[in-house]
Amino acid sequence: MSALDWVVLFGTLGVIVVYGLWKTRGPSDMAGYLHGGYRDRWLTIGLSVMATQASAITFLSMPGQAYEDGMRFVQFYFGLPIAMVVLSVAFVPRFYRLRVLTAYEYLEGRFDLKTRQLAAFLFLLQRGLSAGITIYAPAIVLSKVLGWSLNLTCLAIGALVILYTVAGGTRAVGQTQKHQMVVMLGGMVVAFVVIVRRLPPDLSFGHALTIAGTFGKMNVVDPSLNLGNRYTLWSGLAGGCFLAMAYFGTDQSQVQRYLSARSITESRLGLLFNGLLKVPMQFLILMVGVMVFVFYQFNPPPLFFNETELARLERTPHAAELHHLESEHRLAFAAQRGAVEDLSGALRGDDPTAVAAAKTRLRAAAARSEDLRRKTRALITGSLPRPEPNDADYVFLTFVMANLPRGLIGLLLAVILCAAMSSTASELTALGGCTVVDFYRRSLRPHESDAHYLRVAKICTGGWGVLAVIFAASAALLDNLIQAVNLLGSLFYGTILGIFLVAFFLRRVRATPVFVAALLSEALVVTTWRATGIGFLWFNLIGCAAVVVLSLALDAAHLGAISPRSGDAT
Amino acid sequence: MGDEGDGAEDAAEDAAAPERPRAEMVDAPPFLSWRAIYLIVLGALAIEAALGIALTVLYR
Repeated sequence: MSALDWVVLFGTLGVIVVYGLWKTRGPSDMAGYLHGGYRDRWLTIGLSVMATQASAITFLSMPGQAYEDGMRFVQFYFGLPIAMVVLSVAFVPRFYRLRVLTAYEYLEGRFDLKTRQLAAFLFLLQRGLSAGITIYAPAIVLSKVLGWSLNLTCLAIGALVILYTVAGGTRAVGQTQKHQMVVMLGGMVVAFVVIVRRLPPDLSFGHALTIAGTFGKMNVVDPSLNLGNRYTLWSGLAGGCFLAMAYFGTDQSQVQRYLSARSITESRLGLLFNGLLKVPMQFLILMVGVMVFVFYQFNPPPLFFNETELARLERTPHAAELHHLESEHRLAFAAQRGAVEDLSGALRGDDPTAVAAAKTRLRAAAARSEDLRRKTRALITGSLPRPEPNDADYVFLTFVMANLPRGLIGLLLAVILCAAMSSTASELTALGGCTVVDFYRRSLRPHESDAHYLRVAKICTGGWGVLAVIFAASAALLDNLIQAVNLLGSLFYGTILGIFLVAFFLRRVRATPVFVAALLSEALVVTTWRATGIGFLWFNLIGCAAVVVLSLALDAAHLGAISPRSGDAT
Repeated sequence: MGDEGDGAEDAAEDAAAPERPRAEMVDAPPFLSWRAIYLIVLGALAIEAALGIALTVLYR
C-alpha cells in the first residue's frame, strides 16, 4: 500500500472516532449512556440503523457472493421495507409508551421476569457470538495488508472499538456511525464507478450486464417456490420480513439505536428511511461484485483468491500439482478471453444469432476455468491441515488491492473498517446495556445508584468487547461469513420475535405458556436446522409461528392457569 | 385483572422509568401523512422487485 493509502485510511478512521468522542464528551448517566440523552434526529437514526446492520462482512463477503452466485442475494432484503412499516406501526409506539431501556424490559411488564430474561439471554448468546465474527472479518483484511498475525489484528480492531464505545456510549456510537455510513456509501459508489471505467472502453454497461447474465449472475429475482432454494422472492419477502422484524424489533443493538431518537416520529422516520434505502444499497454492493466478475473476464483472475492458502500449498509436496493447475488456468483464461471478446463484438454488431453462438462458446470456455477452480479447491482441501477452500470473501479485497488507484485503496479499506467498527460498537453497547438492565440491575443489585450502574455498564461493554476479540481470534473461516452471521441470527430470531408478537397481539396468552412455547420452538428450530436442508431464512418464520401456535395451544390447555396474569405479576 | 396487555402497559408506565419529555410522544410526520409515507416505502419496494424481474428476464 502507498503512503497516500495509509493517510486516507488512518485519517478517515481517526477523524471519525475523535470527532465522535469530542462531540459526546462530558458527564453522562445510565439512560444517557444507553440512549444518548434522546437527542437524535431521523437522519442520524436512519444512518445509524443502517450502519449497525452493515458490518464489514457486508462489504467483504457480498461482492464475493455476487461474483460466485450472482445478484440473487438481494432478495434477502425484500422483506425489510415491509418489516420497517410493521415496526413503525406496532413496535415503536409500544416501546415508547413504556419508556423501556431494552426491548426485553417490555416482556416483564407483559409476561414475567423469566420470559424477559429468556429473550435477553437468547439475544446475548447469538449477538455475543456474532460480535466475534464482525471483528474477525475485517481482521482478515488488515492482517493481509499489514502482514500482522490474525490475532494481533483482531486485538487492534477490538481495542479501538472498545475505546470509543466504552468512553462515549450510545451517543458516541451514533455520531461516529453517521459519518461512517457516509464513508461506506460514498466509497462503494466511487468503487462502482472506477470498476466500470476499468472495463474495456468499447464495452457498454448494458453489454457488461449481458456478459454477466450469460453466466447467470443477473439472477436478481427468482419467483420459484422451491423451499430448498435459499434465496427466492418468497423466502425474501416472508422469511426476510420475519428476520428483519425480529432483528430490528427485538435485537437490542437495533432497538437501542431508534430509541435514542428525540421523539417517536424521529424513530419511525429513521426506520422508514432504512426501509427506503436498504434494497438499493445492497443492490449496489452486489452489482460491484458482478462488475468485478465482468472485469475478470477481460483481465486474468487468480486461480484462487485466497493467496495465503496458495502460499501454504506451495510449501507442500503438492506444489507441482498447483503449478500444473496454474498453467492450465492461464490457457483456459486465454480461451475464455477470446470467447468473451467474440461475444462483445457480436453484441456491438447487434446480431442475435451471433450473440447466441458466442454465448454458447463462452459458457463452454468458462466451464473449463470453473473446473480448474474446483480442482484447486479439492487440492487445498485434500492437502492442507485446516484448509479454507472458500475464497469468495477474498474476491473483492484482492481486486481492490491489485487494481484500484492509490488513495482509493485506503478509502475502500476505510469503508471495510468503518463497517466493522460501526456494527461492533452497536453490538457492544447493546450487550453491555442488556447485561446490566435485564440481569444485573433487575436480579443481582437492584438498589444501587445510577453512577454505579453506569460504571457497571461500561465494564460490561468492555467485557463483551474482550470476549468478542477472544472469539474472533479463535474463529476459523466459516463457509461464508455473511451467511454464517445470518444463519446464527435465524436460529434465534424467530423465537424471540414470536414472544414479542404474542405479547403485542395475543393479549389473553399468559406468561408460562409463552415461556414453554419459546423453549419448545427453539428446540424445533435447532432440530430443523440439523435434520433438514431448508433454507435458513425459513427458520425465522418457523420459530415465530411455532411460538405463536404453541403459546395458544398451551394457554388453551390451561397451562396458563399456573401463571398469574402479567398485570398482576408486576 | 382484566385485559392483561393494557393493564401491563399501564402498570409499567406508572412504574419508575427514565423520564423523557412528553413531546417525544407527539407523532405527526413533518410532511405528508403516515399512511402516505408507508405507501411510498412499499411502492418503492414494488418498483425494485419489478426492476429485478425485468433485469432477470432481460439479461438471462
